[in-house]
Formats: sequence, C-alpha cells, structure tokens
Amino acid sequence: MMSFEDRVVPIMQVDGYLLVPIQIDLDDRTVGRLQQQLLKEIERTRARAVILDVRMVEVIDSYISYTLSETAAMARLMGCRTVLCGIQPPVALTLAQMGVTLQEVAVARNLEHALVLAGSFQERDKGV
Amino acid sequence: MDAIKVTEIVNGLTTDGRQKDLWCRVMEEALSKKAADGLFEALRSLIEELGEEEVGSKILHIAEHASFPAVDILRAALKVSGEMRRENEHILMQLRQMLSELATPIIRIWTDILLVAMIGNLDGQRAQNIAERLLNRVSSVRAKVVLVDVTGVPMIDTVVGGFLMEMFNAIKFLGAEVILTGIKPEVAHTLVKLGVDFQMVTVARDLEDALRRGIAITMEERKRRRQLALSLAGGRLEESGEDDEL
Repeated sequence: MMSFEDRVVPIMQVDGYLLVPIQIDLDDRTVGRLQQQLLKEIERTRARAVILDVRMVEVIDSYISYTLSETAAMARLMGCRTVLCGIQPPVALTLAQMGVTLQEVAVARNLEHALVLAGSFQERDKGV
Repeated sequence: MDAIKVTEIVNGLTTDGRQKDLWCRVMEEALSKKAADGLFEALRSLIEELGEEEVGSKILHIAEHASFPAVDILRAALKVSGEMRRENEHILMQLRQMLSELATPIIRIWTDILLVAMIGNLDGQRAQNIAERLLNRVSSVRAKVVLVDVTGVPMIDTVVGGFLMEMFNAIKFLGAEVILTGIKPEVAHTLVKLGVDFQMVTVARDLEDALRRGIAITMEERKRRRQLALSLAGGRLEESGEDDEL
C-alpha cells in the first residue's frame, strides 16, 4: 500500500477497471507523482483498464499530455489499457492546435463511453 | 453674441437650408451654456449629414470668424465622432458574429449526430470561431458523430486544410467520431497535391453515405453499451460469463 502523501488522486475500482477522477491542477511535479501512483495501483489491483476523468482539468500542456501518453504506454506493458474522458472543448482545441497526439490513449466522451471502450479493448485482446 | 451674428456666420458656412438649420441649432446650444447633451445631439445629426471632415473644417471656419466658443464645439464634435465610431465598431462586430453563425449552421441531424455545413471561404478568424462553437456544441449535446460537409467551401489550401485537421483532432479529443463529406474533384486534387491527408477521419462519398455510416457507429455503440450494462448487472457471474461467450 502507498503512503498517504504519495497519493495525488483518489482511485476507485469498479469491475476490474480503475476510475481516476483528476480534480487537481496538474503541474510537472504532480503529473510525475500521478504516474507513480497509477502504476503502483495497476500492479496492486491487476486492473484491465484505467479511466482517467479530466473534466475538472482546465489546462493540459504538451508536457502533461506527453506524460499521460507515456503512462499509458507503461500501463499497456503491464496489460492495462488507458481511456481518457471528459476533455473540455477549450482544452481539446488547444491540444489540437499544439499538434498533440495522445498515443496509446483512447478518448471517450464520458464515463459511460469510457467503460464501453474499455470493454471493447478487452474483447479485442481476447481475439473475439 | 446675438442671433443676427449667428445667422451671419451660418450664412457664410453653407447655402443649404437644412444644413443652416442644423448649424444654427449647434451655435445656439453652444451659446446657451446649458447641459452639453443638447450640443452633442445637434452635432451628431450634423456629422451624420455632412461627415466628420467637413464639420471639422467648418468649425475652424467659425473660429476664424469671430470670438465664438469654437474650441468647445470642436471638443464636443470630437467626442461625438468618437462615440459614433465606437458604436459602429460594436455593430460591425455583432454583424460579423452573426454572419459567421449564419454561414456555418450546426444541425442536430439524428440522435447523437451533428451536421456542420461549411459554406464560403474560411479565414483564420472564422475558422477559430467555427471550431470553438462546434466543440462547445459537441461537448454540450454529447454528440457521438460529427458530419462535416465541405460542399460549400470553394477552395481548400494548406491553411484551411491544416485548420480542418486541427478541428478534427480536437473533436476526437472530445470522444466523437468525424465523418468528412462533400469534397469536390478540384478540392480533392488540391489536397493531394498539397500533401494534406485526412487519414484520421472517415471520408464519405455523399451526405447520405455519411449519415448511414454515422448511424451505424451510434448503433454499434448502443449495442456495446447494452452488453456492458448486462455484464455489470451480472456482477459476480461475470468471470464465468466471459468463458461462456467464448
């Protein structure tokens, strides 16, 4: 188990998926700690997918988006897919204008869609 | 200063009867030393009639003529013309916004499907405006699919092509699919020659095709959602349920 100070976000487990609502402003240091926390939680819970809800995040810069892609790639190596949901329109526009591509990350409209996407990964991985 | 002097000056300024009346009103208001609102109003109608430059030169003319409070009038005239300019700018801005809204309707054409019909030439400002409105709309109605019809766009150069790609990527960040349609032969030719490729989106033959594909995507997702609901409702049985499916 992680110590209390190491945790930056609450992580909820639903049916093999990890729900991660991000409700703090991400800066370079926090996003690094977030990465650590996520990887440890994935290891502990053996989750099939991580769903990051960024509804409350007002700014996602290139470093943060890069770190998120990186985290997703790491999670992938641990057998866990990553879905990002709730990107706000201004954030989406800025990301697109910066030419950011979120590799290894699936993007969903809302939590429900994210669960559907996570479910479809599982099917694909099983070769259905 | 008396009325006769005023009439004399005004006669020297213009021969037009209506303009004379207006000038007389300005002079009287300026002399009366009452609230400035009357003077502003009189000057406003005069500027609307004559234009700023001519009123300015006429005021200089008054200043040469006599010991008349020409400076006060000039100051008031400047203030009035400034106000008028600001009003015009405001109206122009509203019109521009209205035009951009009129030129790019965003229509909810089917459940969870939005249609954007782009018409006319796109410049940077308009493009930004369209992108912002579209993204807000996609987010607020939780659209699953966005159909982009570019039939009305006469020319797509690298700038517009780049803008469209940015917009499509932004829509994808919101978790919606984009289906592009209405590319004319000459536009297709230019796009390929310029090296703009729309790999990240589906391209449909015509609007009918686009709508059919859009509906297929929404149906597919509905089916998956039902499966998800069933599997979540199955709860603990899920582990064995998976094996049954296989």
